[in-house]
Amino acid sequence: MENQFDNLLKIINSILDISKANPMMLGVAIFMVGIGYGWLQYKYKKWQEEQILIEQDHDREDNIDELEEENQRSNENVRDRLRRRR
Amino acid sequence: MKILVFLFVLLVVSCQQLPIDRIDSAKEHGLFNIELHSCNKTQIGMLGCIIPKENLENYYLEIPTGLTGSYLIRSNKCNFRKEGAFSNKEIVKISYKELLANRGYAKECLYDIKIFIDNYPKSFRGLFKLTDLEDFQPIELEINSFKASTTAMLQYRTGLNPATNFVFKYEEKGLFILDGCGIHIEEDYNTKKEINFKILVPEFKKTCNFVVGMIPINAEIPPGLFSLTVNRFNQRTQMISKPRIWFKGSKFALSFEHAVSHVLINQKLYTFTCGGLISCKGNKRHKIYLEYDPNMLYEVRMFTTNGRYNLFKYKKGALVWKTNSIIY
Repeated sequence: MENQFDNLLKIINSILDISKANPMMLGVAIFMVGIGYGWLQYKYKKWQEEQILIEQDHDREDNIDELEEENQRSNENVRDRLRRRR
Repeated sequence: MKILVFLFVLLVVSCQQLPIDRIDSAKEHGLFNIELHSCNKTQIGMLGCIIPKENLENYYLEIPTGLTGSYLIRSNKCNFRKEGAFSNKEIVKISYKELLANRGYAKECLYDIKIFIDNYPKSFRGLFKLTDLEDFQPIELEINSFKASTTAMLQYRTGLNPATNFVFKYEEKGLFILDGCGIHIEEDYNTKKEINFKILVPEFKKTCNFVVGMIPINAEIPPGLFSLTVNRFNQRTQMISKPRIWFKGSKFALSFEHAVSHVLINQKLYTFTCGGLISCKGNKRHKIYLEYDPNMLYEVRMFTTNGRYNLFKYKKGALVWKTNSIIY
């Protein structure tokens, strides 16, 4: 972990050194990072939309078959009795 | 410098998204919550109406949508299936003639309704029921202050067992019959019959349909009929809470819980976004300020991306309508 932190510090120091020598390079670097970040955001949003479509597709599978069957039975039972009156 | 500003704006704008709803979705926990209009009634989630004797083309089921998406309405027993898309503020409107065109000999039709809103991961669900009264008469139902004639559809969260009974009222005395959800009751009644809530609505069953008949001893009085649907939903989901309202000068102010992503007030749509500098999981309420008109009825419809919904109506600063068929 300490090594990784040291390496990151080295990279940041290198960037700062380069930017002192050539400020234009810093601007270009930031621009490239921004483009890269924007592209990642775009890909993530596309992935999210795909997940939503998969989820919604799954939601379509629900049905009320059992409820309808029970309801039909109850209606037949009670209405027949009502028609016969006892 | 300009590039830095541009990149900063790009960062903030590209992060915009709808607020995250941390409460579980309604659909996953058995709560029906689509707004339904028909037979001069408005309800959220479930609605029951009687089939008119004639002119079916003049009666409609209406579903206000508010946003953009698609719907699917199905009844297997009554051979009905319709799906389509809707755009902002469009009302999905289907006539009884169309709904009942292929019902055959079915005396009751249940319509399972699904709404899918664009960019919302969770869908909304509703249940609409059409009952043929035939030559029977309406039975009245009372549960405390809740009253209904011939048909009713109610939702209770699990764990809630009100002490109040279901009271079915009909003329004179006679035989009371109830059938549904594995329960069959036949007992005498004297102008009314009280049934304990716990008997009718066991915890383990999500949705139950009951058909009730009352046969008076007097043969000259026709039998009565009632169709009752009761749904149990898991308490892990909730209806969106009522907005807080107050007045600020000439403005009518409303604030909504953070999870709300869209609000429709009459015909105007408000979208709440987050991201960038605004947390999507926070607790900060959203506020809207409107020009106040004391003669106007404010219909406030709220949505979350997790498929939660609610409707409240205000007039003269007071709440004049909220759903009474969902008890939680």
